[in-house]
Amino acid sequence: MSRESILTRIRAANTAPAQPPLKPHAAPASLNSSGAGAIGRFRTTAVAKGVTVVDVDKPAALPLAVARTLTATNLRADTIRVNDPKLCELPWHDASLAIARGAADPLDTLTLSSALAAVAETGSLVLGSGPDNPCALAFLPETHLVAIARSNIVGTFEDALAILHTRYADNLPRAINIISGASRTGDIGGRIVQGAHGPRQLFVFII
Amino acid sequence: MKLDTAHFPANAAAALANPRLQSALAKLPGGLVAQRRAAVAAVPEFEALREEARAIRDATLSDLANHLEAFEAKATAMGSHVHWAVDAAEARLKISDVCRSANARLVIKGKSMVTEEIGLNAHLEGNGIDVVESDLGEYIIQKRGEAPSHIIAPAIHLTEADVEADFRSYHTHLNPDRTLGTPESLVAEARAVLRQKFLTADVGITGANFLISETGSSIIVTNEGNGDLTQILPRVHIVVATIDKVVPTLDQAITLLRVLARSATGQDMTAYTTIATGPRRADDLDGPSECHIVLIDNGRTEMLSSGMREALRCIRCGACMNHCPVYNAIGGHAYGWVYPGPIGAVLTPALLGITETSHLPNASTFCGSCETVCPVKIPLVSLMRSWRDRAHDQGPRTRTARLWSGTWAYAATRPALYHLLARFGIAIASAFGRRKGHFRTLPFPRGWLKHRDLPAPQGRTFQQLWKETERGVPR
Repeated sequence: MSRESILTRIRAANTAPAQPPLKPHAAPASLNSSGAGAIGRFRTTAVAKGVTVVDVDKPAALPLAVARTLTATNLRADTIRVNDPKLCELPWHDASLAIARGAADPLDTLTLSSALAAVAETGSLVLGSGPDNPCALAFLPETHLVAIARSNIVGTFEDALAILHTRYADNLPRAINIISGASRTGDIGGRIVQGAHGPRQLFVFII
Repeated sequence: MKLDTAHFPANAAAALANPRLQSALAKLPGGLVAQRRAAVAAVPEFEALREEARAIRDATLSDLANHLEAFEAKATAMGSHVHWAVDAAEARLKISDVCRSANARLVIKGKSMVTEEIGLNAHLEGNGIDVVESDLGEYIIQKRGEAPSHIIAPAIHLTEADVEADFRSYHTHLNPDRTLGTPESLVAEARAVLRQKFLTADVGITGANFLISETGSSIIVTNEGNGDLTQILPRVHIVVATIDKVVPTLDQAITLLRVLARSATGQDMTAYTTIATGPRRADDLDGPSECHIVLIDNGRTEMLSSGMREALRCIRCGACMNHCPVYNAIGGHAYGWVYPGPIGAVLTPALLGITETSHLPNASTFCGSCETVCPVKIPLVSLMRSWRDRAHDQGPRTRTARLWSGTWAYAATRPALYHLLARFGIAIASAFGRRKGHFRTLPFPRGWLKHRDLPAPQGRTFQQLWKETERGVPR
């Protein structure tokens, strides 16, 4: 059988003893930050990737902040696809916005997900798939909105892994999506164009 | 894919004489080099990260069988089907079997070098299955019937005007009078055409940048998000990966990701890094219902024991080709197979044998730039040198080449004779060339001076100078 033949050949080639497990590593000091430092650094690194970062006082203020941001960027705002119960229960009607629940539809132009963590070292968002946050929300629309709790903004990817470990132990959800800016391509003439297959624009709301 | 490495000298000459290719090449690698330099400079610990990345790859390879078994066990426990294939033919069969049992008529693909290596698209099409590449660069070259010319920028050899002409001839269902003058409009058109393919495909095939043993996951990185739509939307997801892609822990994958994007494009992180584990869960609203992972050997186990183990550290960033003067002059197609540049000059002979591929390790000035930038410190120059040795021993050589190397070897292994000939030769050459400092013409080899300078020797041999230095004679 192919499996046995491959494993046997590897074992025959690996005549030297296996190297001992590597020492657990720490993130490089220059990439490290925490607390308010991490929040400030996240803002800088995310904005450098073309992400719009908006601060929101409390969850209930999110709908109005979303409406204002959409208006300010000339985006047509009517219906937002969102399925996270904590986000769905917010007063969207007060901001003259409608929400549609469920998985992303190819016709959706605007979706909202909640992130598990945000990483300051690169301005990345970490999303875990599941019924509350179906992962196509992050890829099908032209504009993707992401809500992140201020307390879940961490310094490094090591810190984000710790959050994943607390939440999922050893059994990850189907997809962990680490998102660092909008979809882009440099495949035509070497110039970067946003919105290759995924969102053209990414907005982050820090709550 | 068809092997054309035997015609490397002719292909390289044609590439140098092709003005369109030269204008496309002039634009890109320089930008990638500058972007990498800036990204590396921003992390003072980058050298330590490279060393850590190298250590992770070496330690994993030293215990590869156990890490693969651990990966298989966890991936299976998380609901994936793991398949093993010793070679390209078996891999193609296993993949087409999965497609057949899914009744697939349309397959959408994320970017994957190994599927180029095993010639997957032609095989699936031969089985009556439509295959569409979704990475924009791959889509462009698939339509042209070409191979990628760079492992991360497959259409780097084409200009905007080439792509516009292609889209006008392929997308005949669209208005012929539409404006397509900018990269933005070309990207928008490809997005719309490919979105329909995503939504109707039965099977999505991606490669894997890494396979994680502790979680049974595959990791892919893309900037376009095409790899994600490929794995989310179709009912069946197939991950195709060679056995060297395994990484024991997520922790270690972080280090590799930190050096990967910076080395490849100068980004600190690629736009989308996705850790995918198994099929959709019972309460998920999207994602594939089936997840298959095909683990392919196709020559890697031989590399473990043939002195080419270090090349298996490769994480396919493409930095070696971006920094290679030969690649920059001729582009990727001249190399004649899937993997161009310095890593291709090492991998291709390892996977296909040196007989047909002996030109590739010679397509290097040994300047060493590739080694300096390799994020996992592959000793590319000494690996290429090792292939030159083996090619000399086994490969086809012209009689002239054999005569010269035989004569040189005879002298070089007899020090007294060598010193005598060297002193004699240097004295004559310096008498002819000393006045100008360099030669304008040589009796042989003719043509050498067309592209190069040859400085004239100044009268004494290297060994004479060395002895004088040892004795403390001032120079």
